[in-house]
Amino acid sequence: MAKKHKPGKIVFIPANETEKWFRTANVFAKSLISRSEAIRLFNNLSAETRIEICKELSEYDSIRKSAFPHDMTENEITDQYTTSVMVDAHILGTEYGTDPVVVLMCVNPPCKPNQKVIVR
Amino acid sequence: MKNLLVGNGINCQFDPTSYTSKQIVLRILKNCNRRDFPTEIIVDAPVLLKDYLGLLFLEARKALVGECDVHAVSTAEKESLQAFKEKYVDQAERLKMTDICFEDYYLLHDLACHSIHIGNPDQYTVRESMRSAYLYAIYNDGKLDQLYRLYPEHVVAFLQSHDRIFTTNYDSNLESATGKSVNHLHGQFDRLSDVYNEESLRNKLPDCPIRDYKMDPQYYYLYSNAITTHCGSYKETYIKQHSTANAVVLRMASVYQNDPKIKAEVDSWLTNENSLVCNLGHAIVLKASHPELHFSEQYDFESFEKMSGELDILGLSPWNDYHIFCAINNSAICKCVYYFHGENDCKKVTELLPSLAKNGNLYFSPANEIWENKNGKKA
Repeated sequence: MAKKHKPGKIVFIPANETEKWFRTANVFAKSLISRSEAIRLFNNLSAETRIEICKELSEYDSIRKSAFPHDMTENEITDQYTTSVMVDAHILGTEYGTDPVVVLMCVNPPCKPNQKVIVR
Repeated sequence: MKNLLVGNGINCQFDPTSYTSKQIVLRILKNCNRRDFPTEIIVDAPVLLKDYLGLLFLEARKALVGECDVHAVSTAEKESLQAFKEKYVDQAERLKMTDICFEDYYLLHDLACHSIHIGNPDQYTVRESMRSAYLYAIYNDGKLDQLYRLYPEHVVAFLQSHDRIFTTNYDSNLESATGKSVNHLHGQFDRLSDVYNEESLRNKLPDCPIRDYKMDPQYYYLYSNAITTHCGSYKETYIKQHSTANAVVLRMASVYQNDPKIKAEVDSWLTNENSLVCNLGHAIVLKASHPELHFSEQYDFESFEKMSGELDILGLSPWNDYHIFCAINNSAICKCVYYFHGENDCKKVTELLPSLAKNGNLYFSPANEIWENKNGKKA
Protein backbone atom coordinates (compact mmCIF):
# COMPACT_ATOMS: atom_id res chain seq x y z
CA MET A 1 0.00 0.00 0.00
CA ALA A 2 1.51 3.42 -0.98
CA LYS A 3 2.58 5.61 1.88
CA LYS A 4 0.44 8.65 2.42
CA HIS A 5 2.52 11.79 2.46
CA LYS A 6 1.39 14.69 4.59
CA PRO A 7 0.10 17.57 2.44
CA GLY A 8 2.81 20.07 1.49
CA LYS A 9 5.76 17.84 2.42
CA ILE A 10 6.73 17.13 -1.19
CA VAL A 11 6.96 19.52 -4.08
CA PHE A 12 7.44 18.50 -7.70
CA ILE A 13 9.78 20.78 -9.57
CA PRO A 14 10.46 20.66 -13.32
CA ALA A 15 13.88 19.32 -14.24
CA ASN A 16 15.00 22.55 -15.87
CA GLU A 17 14.19 24.51 -12.72
CA THR A 18 16.10 22.12 -10.46
CA GLU A 19 18.98 22.26 -12.91
CA LYS A 20 19.00 26.05 -12.73
CA TRP A 21 18.79 25.93 -8.93
CA PHE A 22 21.68 23.46 -8.69
CA ARG A 23 23.85 25.23 -11.25
CA THR A 24 23.43 28.65 -9.65
CA ALA A 25 24.54 27.28 -6.31
CA ASN A 26 27.40 25.43 -7.92
CA VAL A 27 28.81 28.53 -9.63
CA PHE A 28 30.05 29.37 -6.15
CA ALA A 29 30.34 25.93 -4.52
CA LYS A 30 32.26 24.32 -7.39
CA SER A 31 31.19 20.90 -6.15
CA LEU A 32 31.80 17.72 -8.11
CA ILE A 33 28.68 15.86 -7.03
CA SER A 34 25.74 15.35 -9.38
CA ARG A 35 22.50 17.31 -9.32
CA SER A 36 20.53 14.25 -8.26
CA GLU A 37 22.91 13.58 -5.38
CA ALA A 38 22.76 17.22 -4.34
CA ILE A 39 18.95 17.12 -4.28
CA ARG A 40 19.02 13.89 -2.30
CA LEU A 41 21.30 15.49 0.29
CA PHE A 42 19.17 18.64 0.32
CA ASN A 43 16.06 16.60 1.03
CA ASN A 44 17.86 14.98 3.97
CA LEU A 45 18.30 18.32 5.68
CA SER A 46 15.66 19.19 8.27
CA ALA A 47 13.77 22.46 8.04
CA GLU A 48 15.61 23.76 11.09
CA THR A 49 19.00 22.98 9.52
CA ARG A 50 18.09 24.71 6.27
CA ILE A 51 16.97 27.82 8.12
CA GLU A 52 20.08 27.77 10.30
CA ILE A 53 22.33 27.43 7.26
CA CYS A 54 20.65 30.41 5.59
CA LYS A 55 21.09 32.47 8.72
CA GLU A 56 24.78 31.61 8.99
CA LEU A 57 25.39 32.30 5.31
CA SER A 58 23.83 35.70 5.78
CA GLU A 59 26.14 36.39 8.74
CA TYR A 60 29.17 35.32 6.72
CA ASP A 61 28.05 37.63 3.94
CA SER A 62 27.88 40.57 6.35
CA ILE A 63 31.41 39.86 7.54
CA ARG A 64 32.60 39.51 3.95
CA LYS A 65 31.32 42.93 2.92
CA SER A 66 33.81 44.73 5.16
CA ALA A 67 36.61 42.17 5.05
CA PHE A 68 38.35 43.01 1.80
CA PRO A 69 41.21 45.51 1.91
CA HIS A 70 40.24 48.96 0.70
CA ASP A 71 42.96 49.08 -1.92
CA MET A 72 41.59 46.10 -3.90
CA THR A 73 40.09 46.73 -7.32
CA GLU A 74 36.51 45.82 -8.12
CA ASN A 75 37.64 42.92 -10.34
CA GLU A 76 39.88 41.57 -7.61
CA ILE A 77 37.05 41.73 -5.09
CA THR A 78 34.65 39.98 -7.49
CA ASP A 79 37.08 37.09 -8.00
CA GLN A 80 37.78 36.77 -4.31
CA TYR A 81 34.09 37.09 -3.45
CA THR A 82 33.34 33.90 -5.39
CA THR A 83 36.12 32.00 -3.65
CA SER A 84 35.11 33.41 -0.29
CA VAL A 85 31.55 32.13 -0.72
CA MET A 86 32.94 28.71 -1.67
CA VAL A 87 35.06 28.59 1.48
CA ASP A 88 32.09 29.55 3.65
CA ALA A 89 30.06 26.81 1.99
CA HIS A 90 32.81 24.36 2.90
CA ILE A 91 32.80 25.57 6.49
CA LEU A 92 29.05 25.07 6.79
CA GLY A 93 29.19 21.84 4.81
CA THR A 94 31.59 20.46 7.42
CA GLU A 95 29.55 21.72 10.35
CA TYR A 96 26.26 20.39 9.02
CA GLY A 97 27.61 17.22 7.45
CA THR A 98 26.62 17.96 3.89
CA ASP A 99 28.11 19.03 0.57
CA PRO A 100 29.03 22.70 -0.03
CA VAL A 101 26.65 22.95 -3.01
CA VAL A 102 23.80 21.74 -0.81
CA VAL A 103 24.64 24.52 1.66
CA LEU A 104 24.20 27.11 -1.08
CA MET A 105 21.07 25.40 -2.39
CA CYS A 106 19.48 26.36 0.93
CA VAL A 107 19.48 29.94 -0.33
CA ASN A 108 16.31 30.58 -2.40
CA PRO A 109 15.27 26.94 -2.86
CA PRO A 110 12.13 26.25 -4.93
CA CYS A 111 10.37 24.88 -1.88
CA LYS A 112 9.52 25.63 1.74
CA PRO A 113 12.02 24.65 4.44
CA ASN A 114 9.98 21.61 5.45
CA GLN A 115 9.43 20.34 1.91
CA LYS A 116 11.32 17.73 -0.08
CA VAL A 117 12.00 18.29 -3.76
CA ILE A 118 11.22 15.69 -6.40
CA VAL A 119 12.26 16.32 -9.96
CA ARG A 120 9.30 16.12 -12.32
CA MET B 1 65.26 2.20 29.76
CA LYS B 2 61.57 2.68 29.10
CA ASN B 3 60.80 5.28 26.45
CA LEU B 4 57.47 6.70 25.38
CA LEU B 5 56.56 8.54 22.17
CA VAL B 6 53.25 10.41 22.20
CA GLY B 7 51.42 11.97 19.27
CA ASN B 8 48.31 14.08 18.77
CA GLY B 9 46.06 11.09 19.39
CA ILE B 10 46.21 11.81 23.11
CA ASN B 11 44.66 15.25 22.53
CA CYS B 12 41.96 13.81 20.28
CA GLN B 13 41.21 11.18 22.93
CA PHE B 14 40.48 13.74 25.64
CA ASP B 15 38.77 16.28 23.41
CA PRO B 16 37.28 14.52 20.38
CA THR B 17 35.65 17.76 19.17
CA SER B 18 38.65 20.05 18.77
CA TYR B 19 41.93 18.50 17.70
CA THR B 20 41.40 16.21 14.76
CA SER B 21 42.82 17.32 11.45
CA LYS B 22 39.34 18.23 10.17
CA GLN B 23 38.53 20.32 13.21
CA ILE B 24 41.82 22.18 13.07
CA VAL B 25 41.32 23.13 9.40
CA LEU B 26 37.75 24.18 10.20
CA ARG B 27 39.03 26.36 13.03
CA ILE B 28 41.69 27.92 10.79
CA LEU B 29 38.97 28.94 8.32
CA LYS B 30 36.55 30.17 10.97
CA ASN B 31 39.28 32.07 12.83
CA CYS B 32 39.65 34.25 9.74
CA ASN B 33 36.26 35.75 10.61
CA ARG B 34 37.17 36.62 14.20
CA ARG B 35 37.21 40.27 15.15
CA ASP B 36 40.20 39.62 17.43
CA PHE B 37 42.23 37.83 14.75
CA PRO B 38 45.90 38.81 15.32
CA THR B 39 46.25 40.77 12.08
CA GLU B 40 49.54 42.28 13.26
CA ILE B 41 51.15 38.85 13.35
CA ILE B 42 49.50 36.47 10.88
CA VAL B 43 48.07 38.53 8.01
CA ASP B 44 46.58 42.01 7.85
CA ALA B 45 43.43 40.90 6.01
CA PRO B 46 42.50 37.37 7.09
CA VAL B 47 39.94 37.08 4.28
CA LEU B 48 42.89 36.90 1.91
CA LEU B 49 44.31 33.89 3.76
CA LYS B 50 40.92 32.20 3.84
CA ASP B 51 40.45 32.74 0.12
CA TYR B 52 43.98 31.60 -0.64
CA LEU B 53 43.27 28.32 1.12
CA GLY B 54 40.14 28.05 -1.03
CA LEU B 55 42.25 28.45 -4.17
CA LEU B 56 44.69 25.83 -2.88
CA PHE B 57 41.75 23.46 -2.42
CA LEU B 58 40.93 23.89 -6.12
CA GLU B 59 44.59 23.12 -6.87
CA ALA B 60 44.19 19.93 -4.80
CA ARG B 61 41.67 18.65 -7.31
CA LYS B 62 44.15 19.25 -10.11
CA ALA B 63 46.85 17.53 -8.07
CA LEU B 64 44.69 14.42 -7.68
CA VAL B 65 44.39 13.99 -11.44
CA GLY B 66 48.07 14.53 -12.11
CA GLU B 67 47.90 18.09 -13.40
CA CYS B 68 50.44 19.28 -10.81
CA ASP B 69 53.00 16.52 -11.36
CA VAL B 70 55.11 18.75 -13.55
CA HIS B 71 55.34 21.34 -10.76
CA ALA B 72 56.84 18.97 -8.17
CA VAL B 73 60.49 19.92 -8.27
CA SER B 74 62.33 18.18 -5.45
CA THR B 75 62.34 14.50 -4.51
CA ALA B 76 60.52 15.39 -1.29
CA GLU B 77 57.78 17.21 -3.21
CA LYS B 78 57.38 14.30 -5.63
CA GLU B 79 57.10 11.83 -2.76
CA SER B 80 54.69 14.09 -0.88
CA LEU B 81 52.58 14.52 -4.01
CA GLN B 82 52.40 10.76 -4.51
CA ALA B 83 51.38 10.26 -0.87
CA PHE B 84 48.82 13.08 -1.27
CA LYS B 85 47.20 11.33 -4.22
CA GLU B 86 47.09 7.99 -2.41
CA LYS B 87 45.51 9.61 0.60
CA TYR B 88 42.72 11.52 -1.12
CA VAL B 89 42.05 10.05 -4.56
CA ASP B 90 39.26 7.75 -3.35
CA GLN B 91 37.29 10.65 -1.93
CA ALA B 92 37.99 13.13 -4.73
CA GLU B 93 34.37 13.76 -5.66
CA ARG B 94 33.24 14.46 -2.09
CA LEU B 95 36.41 16.16 -0.88
CA LYS B 96 35.90 19.20 1.29
CA MET B 97 38.53 21.70 2.38
CA THR B 98 38.44 20.30 5.89
CA ASP B 99 39.15 16.77 4.64
CA ILE B 100 42.66 17.81 3.63
CA CYS B 101 45.20 17.81 6.47
CA PHE B 102 46.55 21.29 6.93
CA GLU B 103 50.15 20.20 6.46
CA ASP B 104 49.19 19.08 2.94
CA TYR B 105 48.20 22.66 2.18
CA TYR B 106 51.91 23.55 2.42
CA LEU B 107 52.58 21.13 -0.43
CA LEU B 108 49.76 22.66 -2.48
CA HIS B 109 51.17 26.11 -1.75
CA ASP B 110 54.65 25.11 -2.94
CA LEU B 111 53.28 23.48 -6.09
CA ALA B 112 51.13 26.55 -6.83
CA CYS B 113 54.14 28.83 -6.35
CA HIS B 114 56.22 26.72 -8.74
CA SER B 115 53.46 26.81 -11.34
CA ILE B 116 53.19 30.61 -11.34
CA HIS B 117 56.90 31.20 -10.75
CA ILE B 118 56.62 32.73 -7.30
CA GLY B 119 59.78 32.26 -5.24
CA ASN B 120 61.23 33.52 -2.02
CA PRO B 121 60.71 35.78 -0.16
CA ASP B 122 57.00 35.81 -1.16
CA GLN B 123 56.67 32.01 -1.10
CA TYR B 124 58.25 31.95 2.36
CA THR B 125 56.17 34.88 3.67
CA VAL B 126 52.88 33.29 2.67
CA ARG B 127 53.97 29.94 4.09
CA GLU B 128 54.78 31.64 7.39
CA SER B 129 51.29 33.16 7.46
CA MET B 130 49.82 29.73 6.91
CA ARG B 131 52.02 28.33 9.67
CA SER B 132 50.97 31.02 12.13
CA ALA B 133 47.30 30.49 11.29
CA TYR B 134 47.80 26.77 11.92
CA LEU B 135 49.46 27.32 15.31
CA TYR B 136 46.77 29.85 16.24
CA ALA B 137 44.11 27.22 15.52
CA ILE B 138 45.90 24.40 17.34
CA TYR B 139 46.54 26.52 20.44
CA ASN B 140 42.78 27.15 20.54
CA ASP B 141 42.95 30.18 22.84
CA GLY B 142 44.88 28.18 25.44
CA LYS B 143 42.33 25.41 25.80
CA LEU B 144 44.78 22.86 24.40
CA ASP B 145 47.19 23.25 27.29
CA GLN B 146 44.43 22.45 29.80
CA LEU B 147 43.65 18.98 28.47
CA TYR B 148 45.91 17.30 31.04
CA ARG B 149 43.26 18.08 33.65
CA LEU B 150 41.10 15.44 31.98
CA TYR B 151 43.72 12.68 32.13
CA PRO B 152 42.53 9.89 34.46
CA GLU B 153 44.96 8.67 37.12
CA HIS B 154 45.74 5.45 35.29
CA VAL B 155 46.77 7.39 32.17
CA VAL B 156 49.03 9.63 34.23
CA ALA B 157 50.49 6.55 35.90
CA PHE B 158 51.16 5.00 32.48
CA LEU B 159 52.91 8.17 31.30
CA GLN B 160 54.95 8.47 34.50
CA SER B 161 56.06 4.83 34.31
CA HIS B 162 58.43 5.77 31.49
CA ASP B 163 61.98 7.03 32.01
CA ARG B 164 61.94 9.29 28.95
CA ILE B 165 59.01 10.88 27.17
CA PHE B 166 59.20 12.16 23.60
CA THR B 167 56.37 13.85 21.77
CA THR B 168 55.57 15.39 18.39
CA ASN B 169 53.02 17.65 20.11
CA TYR B 170 53.63 21.34 20.74
CA ASP B 171 51.60 21.61 23.95
CA SER B 172 52.76 21.16 27.54
CA ASN B 173 50.11 18.69 28.70
CA LEU B 174 52.57 15.84 29.22
CA GLU B 175 54.81 18.00 31.41
CA SER B 176 51.83 19.27 33.39
CA ALA B 177 50.43 15.78 33.91
CA THR B 178 53.65 13.97 34.81
CA GLY B 179 55.88 16.67 36.27
CA LYS B 180 58.62 15.28 34.01
CA SER B 181 60.69 16.94 31.36
CA VAL B 182 59.49 16.03 27.88
CA ASN B 183 61.45 16.09 24.63
CA HIS B 184 59.42 17.88 21.95
CA LEU B 185 60.77 16.54 18.68
CA HIS B 186 58.91 19.10 16.57
CA GLY B 187 59.20 22.08 18.88
CA GLN B 188 56.90 23.46 21.52
CA PHE B 189 54.69 26.46 22.07
CA ASP B 190 56.63 27.72 25.08
CA ARG B 191 60.04 27.76 23.40
CA LEU B 192 60.99 30.84 21.43
CA SER B 193 62.26 30.40 17.91
CA ASP B 194 65.82 31.62 17.44
CA VAL B 195 64.77 34.30 14.99
CA TYR B 196 62.68 36.01 17.68
CA ASN B 197 65.38 35.81 20.38
CA GLU B 198 67.21 39.12 20.56
CA GLU B 199 70.28 37.45 22.08
CA SER B 200 70.61 34.76 19.43
CA LEU B 201 73.46 34.62 16.95
CA ARG B 202 70.86 34.99 14.23
CA ASN B 203 70.00 38.47 15.45
CA LYS B 204 73.62 39.51 15.65
CA LEU B 205 73.91 39.20 11.88
CA PRO B 206 73.51 42.36 9.74
CA ASP B 207 69.93 41.77 8.61
CA CYS B 208 68.82 41.20 12.22
CA PRO B 209 65.25 39.98 11.60
CA ILE B 210 64.01 41.08 15.05
CA ARG B 211 65.12 44.68 14.61
CA ASP B 212 62.15 47.08 14.81
CA TYR B 213 59.75 44.17 15.35
CA LYS B 214 57.52 44.32 18.39
CA MET B 215 56.32 40.97 19.69
CA ASP B 216 52.94 40.60 21.35
CA PRO B 217 53.44 38.41 24.46
CA GLN B 218 49.79 37.35 24.37
CA TYR B 219 50.61 35.34 21.24
CA TYR B 220 53.93 33.94 22.47
CA TYR B 221 53.13 30.57 20.87
CA LEU B 222 53.15 32.11 17.40
CA TYR B 223 56.82 32.98 17.91
CA SER B 224 57.66 29.44 18.98
CA ASN B 225 59.96 26.89 17.42
CA ALA B 226 57.04 24.64 16.42
CA ILE B 227 57.82 22.91 13.12
CA THR B 228 55.13 22.26 10.59
CA THR B 229 55.57 21.27 6.96
CA HIS B 230 54.30 18.67 4.54
CA CYS B 231 56.92 15.99 4.78
CA GLY B 232 59.12 14.30 7.30
CA SER B 233 62.34 14.88 5.40
CA TYR B 234 61.79 18.67 5.45
CA LYS B 235 61.04 18.47 9.18
CA GLU B 236 64.23 16.52 9.72
CA THR B 237 66.23 19.10 7.74
CA TYR B 238 64.73 21.87 9.82
CA ILE B 239 65.42 20.00 13.06
CA LYS B 240 69.07 19.52 12.18
CA GLN B 241 69.77 22.83 10.43
CA HIS B 242 71.17 24.63 13.46
CA SER B 243 73.49 21.80 14.48
CA THR B 244 74.66 21.60 10.88
CA ALA B 245 75.14 25.38 10.73
CA ASN B 246 77.06 25.35 14.01
CA ALA B 247 79.40 22.63 12.76
CA VAL B 248 80.06 24.54 9.55
CA VAL B 249 80.57 27.92 11.23
CA LEU B 250 82.86 26.39 13.87
CA ARG B 251 85.04 24.79 11.26
CA MET B 252 85.09 27.89 9.07
CA ALA B 253 85.93 30.11 12.08
CA SER B 254 88.88 27.89 12.89
CA VAL B 255 90.17 28.08 9.32
CA TYR B 256 89.46 31.83 9.23
CA GLN B 257 91.78 32.32 12.20
CA ASN B 258 94.58 30.18 10.80
CA ASP B 259 94.58 30.68 7.03
CA PRO B 260 95.17 34.23 5.72
CA LYS B 261 93.84 33.39 2.26
CA ILE B 262 90.59 32.08 3.69
CA LYS B 263 90.40 35.09 5.98
CA ALA B 264 90.68 37.45 3.02
CA GLU B 265 88.01 35.52 1.13
CA VAL B 266 85.60 35.50 4.07
CA ASP B 267 86.27 39.20 4.73
CA SER B 268 85.20 39.91 1.16
CA TRP B 269 81.84 38.24 1.90
CA LEU B 270 81.05 40.86 4.53
CA THR B 271 80.03 43.33 1.86
CA ASN B 272 78.56 40.85 -0.62
CA GLU B 273 75.23 41.87 -2.16
CA ASN B 274 73.82 38.40 -1.54
CA SER B 275 72.45 38.51 2.01
CA LEU B 276 73.06 34.79 2.55
CA VAL B 277 76.74 35.10 1.71
CA CYS B 278 77.01 38.31 3.74
CA ASN B 279 75.36 36.67 6.75
CA LEU B 280 77.62 33.63 6.52
CA GLY B 281 80.67 35.86 6.47
CA HIS B 282 79.52 37.78 9.52
CA ALA B 283 78.65 34.56 11.37
CA ILE B 284 82.16 33.21 10.78
CA VAL B 285 83.83 36.44 11.90
CA LEU B 286 81.63 36.63 15.00
CA LYS B 287 82.31 33.00 15.88
CA ALA B 288 86.03 33.53 15.50
CA SER B 289 86.00 36.40 17.99
CA HIS B 290 83.21 35.04 20.24
CA PRO B 291 83.44 31.23 20.32
CA GLU B 292 80.58 31.04 22.81
CA LEU B 293 78.10 32.25 20.18
CA HIS B 294 76.11 29.57 18.35
CA PHE B 295 72.75 28.95 16.75
CA SER B 296 70.62 27.45 19.48
CA GLU B 297 69.87 23.79 18.89
CA GLN B 298 66.23 23.74 19.63
CA TYR B 299 65.31 20.15 18.96
CA ASP B 300 67.02 17.30 20.77
CA PHE B 301 66.46 14.78 17.99
CA GLU B 302 69.83 13.18 18.71
CA SER B 303 68.56 11.80 22.04
CA PHE B 304 65.67 10.24 20.18
CA GLU B 305 67.95 8.68 17.57
CA LYS B 306 70.20 7.32 20.31
CA MET B 307 67.53 5.88 22.58
CA SER B 308 67.76 2.27 23.70
CA GLY B 309 65.68 -0.20 25.65
CA GLU B 310 61.93 -0.31 25.13
CA LEU B 311 59.63 2.10 23.35
CA ASP B 312 55.88 2.55 23.63
CA ILE B 313 54.19 4.57 20.90
CA LEU B 314 50.84 6.12 21.79
CA GLY B 315 48.59 8.38 19.72
CA LEU B 316 50.97 8.71 16.77
CA SER B 317 49.65 8.18 13.26
CA PRO B 318 51.93 6.12 10.98
CA TRP B 319 50.75 8.04 7.90
CA ASN B 320 52.93 11.10 8.47
CA ASP B 321 56.33 11.88 9.94
CA TYR B 322 58.17 8.97 8.41
CA HIS B 323 61.46 10.44 9.66
CA ILE B 324 60.32 9.56 13.20
CA PHE B 325 59.75 5.92 12.30
CA CYS B 326 63.00 5.83 10.37
CA ALA B 327 64.85 7.04 13.48
CA ILE B 328 63.14 4.37 15.60
CA ASN B 329 64.00 1.66 13.12
CA ASN B 330 67.66 2.70 13.16
CA SER B 331 67.86 3.10 16.94
CA ALA B 332 68.96 0.60 19.60
CA ILE B 333 65.37 -0.03 20.71
CA CYS B 334 64.99 -3.75 21.45
CA LYS B 335 61.22 -3.83 21.95
CA CYS B 336 58.47 -1.59 20.64
CA VAL B 337 54.76 -1.58 21.49
CA TYR B 338 52.56 0.40 19.12
CA TYR B 339 49.18 1.31 20.59
CA PHE B 340 46.91 1.48 17.57
CA HIS B 341 43.69 3.32 16.94
CA GLY B 342 42.68 1.36 13.84
CA GLU B 343 43.92 -2.04 12.67
CA ASN B 344 45.04 -0.56 9.31
CA ASP B 345 47.72 1.33 11.18
CA CYS B 346 49.42 -1.90 12.27
CA LYS B 347 50.29 -2.98 8.73
CA LYS B 348 51.76 0.45 7.99
CA VAL B 349 53.81 0.44 11.20
CA THR B 350 55.17 -3.01 10.32
CA GLU B 351 56.33 -1.58 6.98
CA LEU B 352 57.93 1.41 8.69
CA LEU B 353 59.74 -0.61 11.39
CA PRO B 354 61.07 -3.58 9.41
CA SER B 355 64.04 -4.29 11.69
CA LEU B 356 61.92 -4.58 14.80
CA ALA B 357 59.24 -6.53 12.97
CA LYS B 358 61.74 -8.97 11.47
CA ASN B 359 63.27 -9.72 14.87
CA GLY B 360 59.88 -10.29 16.46
CA ASN B 361 60.29 -7.23 18.70
CA LEU B 362 57.32 -5.24 17.43
CA TYR B 363 54.06 -5.61 19.31
CA PHE B 364 50.59 -4.13 18.86
CA SER B 365 47.98 -3.30 21.42
CA PRO B 366 44.73 -1.34 21.07
CA ALA B 367 45.10 2.20 22.40
CA ASN B 368 41.84 1.68 24.28
CA GLU B 369 43.76 -0.55 26.67
CA ILE B 370 45.52 2.57 27.90
CA TRP B 371 42.56 4.93 27.76
CA GLU B 372 40.27 2.42 29.49
CA ASN B 373 42.83 1.01 31.94
CA LYS B 374 42.77 -2.51 30.61
CA ASN B 375 45.83 -4.76 30.89
CA GLY B 376 47.96 -4.79 27.79
CA LYS B 377 48.61 -8.05 26.02
CA LYS B 378 51.07 -9.15 23.36
CA ALA B 379 49.73 -9.36 19.81
